[in-house]
Amino acid sequence: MIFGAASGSRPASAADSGVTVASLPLLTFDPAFARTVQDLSIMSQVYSSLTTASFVDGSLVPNLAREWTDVDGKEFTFKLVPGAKFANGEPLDANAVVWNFKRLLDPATQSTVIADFNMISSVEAPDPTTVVIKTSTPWLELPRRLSAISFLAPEWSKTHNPKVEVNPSGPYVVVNYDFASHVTLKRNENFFGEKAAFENATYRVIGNSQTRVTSLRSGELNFANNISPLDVQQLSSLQDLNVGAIPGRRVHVLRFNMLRDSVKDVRVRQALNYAINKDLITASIYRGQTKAATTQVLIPGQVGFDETMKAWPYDPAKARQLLAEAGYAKGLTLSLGVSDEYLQAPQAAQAIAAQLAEVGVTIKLQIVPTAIWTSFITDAQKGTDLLYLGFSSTTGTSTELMNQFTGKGRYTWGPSNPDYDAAVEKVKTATSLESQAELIRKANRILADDAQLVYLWPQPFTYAVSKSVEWTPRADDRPRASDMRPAK
Amino acid sequence: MATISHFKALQARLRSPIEVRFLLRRAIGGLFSLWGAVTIVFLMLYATGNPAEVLAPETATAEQVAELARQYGFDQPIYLQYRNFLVNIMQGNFPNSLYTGRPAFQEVLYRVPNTLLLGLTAVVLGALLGLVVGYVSSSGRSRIMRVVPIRLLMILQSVPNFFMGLLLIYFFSLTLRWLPTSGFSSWRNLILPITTLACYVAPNVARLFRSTMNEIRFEEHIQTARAKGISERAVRIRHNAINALGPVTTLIGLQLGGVLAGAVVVETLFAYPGVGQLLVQAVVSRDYPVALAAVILVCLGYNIASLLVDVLVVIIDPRAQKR
Repeated sequence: MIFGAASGSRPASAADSGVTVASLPLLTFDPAFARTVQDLSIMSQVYSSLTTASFVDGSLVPNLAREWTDVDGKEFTFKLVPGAKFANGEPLDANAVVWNFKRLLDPATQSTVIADFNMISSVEAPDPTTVVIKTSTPWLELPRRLSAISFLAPEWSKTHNPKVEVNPSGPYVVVNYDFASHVTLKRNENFFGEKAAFENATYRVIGNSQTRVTSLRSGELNFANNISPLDVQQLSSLQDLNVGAIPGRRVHVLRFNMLRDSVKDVRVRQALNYAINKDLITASIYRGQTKAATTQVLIPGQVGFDETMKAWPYDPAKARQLLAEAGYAKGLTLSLGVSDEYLQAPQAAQAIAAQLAEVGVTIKLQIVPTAIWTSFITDAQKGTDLLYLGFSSTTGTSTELMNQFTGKGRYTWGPSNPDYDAAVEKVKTATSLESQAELIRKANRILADDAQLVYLWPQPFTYAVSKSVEWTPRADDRPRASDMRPAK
Repeated sequence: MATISHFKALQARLRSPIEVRFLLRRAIGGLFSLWGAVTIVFLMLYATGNPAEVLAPETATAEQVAELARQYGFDQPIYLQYRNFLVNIMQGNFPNSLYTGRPAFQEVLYRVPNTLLLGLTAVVLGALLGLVVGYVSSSGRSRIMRVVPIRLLMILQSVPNFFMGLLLIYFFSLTLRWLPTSGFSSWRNLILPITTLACYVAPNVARLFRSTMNEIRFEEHIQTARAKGISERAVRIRHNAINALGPVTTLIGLQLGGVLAGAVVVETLFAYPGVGQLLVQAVVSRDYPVALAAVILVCLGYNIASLLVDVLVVIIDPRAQKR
């Protein structure tokens, strides 16, 4: 196995050897189990889905479905590209799509792709190029959710293990792979859509961020993301790389453990929002690669993003006053749990602790190793008073995120805000995008007015790409070779 | 009579010095350590989080995660899961990888050659370097020979292998551009990780070899050899160095375990597709069958290496098995 440009003796040239992209370890090729960014990234290049998110602005664009319509958000009709085929010649038609949904929804499959699909009441194929999906309640977000669902070939799947084998239908085919080290892709000349610009693409598994940086510097990689803000600055000095950052889709917040009396008072929660100077932290720890979040866990472009909502102002005097009114004039001690699961979170948490100390709030910081973070954040009783978390949605839908702050949320510690819960339920059943956007804005205002979160900043999506490669940064963290092309 | 005694002497010489009881004792001890390691890792994997929490997408609700846990049986009490796990192993049904669906041992065995290539080469090279430096520092003619090489190795030992790896990458990959930084596409990818691991092995071997040689230098059998008029060089090699090999052999065996542990860090740093990297990934993604299979194989490998070393030590010095 020879990697595209892994010579180590000269800078990688995307023009003559395809493109070499850094990836985190891969787990599976099976669409029923893929959930990580890296798995979904590969899958979206070797398989097809009904819809896909544009790499330009994240908007929803056709893929296997040329067009789609809906009736009251409950009955969706997708018209498919005629003549689409898998690499083995099996047709990728409406019947194949129906079979895939049956497989996904069958409990025996034990799929880990959980996305409210129990709302789907039927999937039918009236003809080979038409798929009709009906839902039990209005579900306007369905076409966007379907952008993460790729399709297998039904006949082929009977005799193959789709977790480790691929019968592709996307812009690339898999030449060879080892989940621990690489996946080598070659352009699929029979792809029904726009052909990939690079003939070859190699994803090299490099889990360690330091190694990603050294591989970039040595010229072994054409693309890497998840680079620390400090490394972004250092790599900027290299002439053959375009290095940068955009605010990503994952928003960092502090959540309150509502089982604790000290944070049950809304004035305490508001005080914490006032006491943190987000601009200072984003400028220093994140080197200006992101900016303070507005009082909503959404970013521009997502349905319901409210342009009028601004970042919570920094006002330590107001924070002190609110704490005094809440009975904490002499000070308050809170514990805060954080892990390096989120970019620069431990460093940011230390800065937050220092800023809160200035208004009389003593923070006892618990920096938790990533390996036990999952366990740590699921135990509210033993948990800390505050939790540093980052929230993102796989497909960019707003309700996936908003769900997390209702009583149903995995990390909702103690009682949630019932008005917010009711507002989110209304959002889910909206029948038009306009009314849904308005309901989302209303729900987000309820959450902000109750200061259920301390709004921090969107995690920056950091990247470095060879100047020989043309690529538009996208907020969903998915580095797809099929979105790249040789620079002119 | 003379013939019979002659035959007995010959039989005694041909008989292996290793007693079956000794091997049995070691094998049973190995099995216990294997069981202990698996139990500890099993409990730790489960104590550090319900695998369903990791398997589910991050936007899943608490209810959806609970349903997933029920489907996979992760909602059962831990002692029941542990019992089922042991029963399945006894019946030869080791669970498959949660992500690839392939047998967990197959996933690990696939990477064993890579790790053995890395680990064994590093141990052999590290041990050779350690032995040479240990010998020179004990028997070198000049003070410089006796002091400088071993001091240099001591400096290497004080550098953590993660940092050592980064230094090597910086120098050989970024500055000189001679070698690739990571991956495993050719033999050139092996040089830096092997050097990193060998730097961990060599100083320990050198120190013990030197101190053991110094310790036994004035023992009676060495003095006797000198009194026989054997050359000083021959005394040092045949009597001093050879007799100092016993404890060093044990240490090299133990170093193999250390190298396997160190490989976790080195394989991650150099993005080298070995068992260590797989183990880290399996723990992070909670692919517990693969994590347990990796631990079992590493533990088994360590036990076998340890047994071989004990056998080797007994061959070198038969008194060892009585201790």
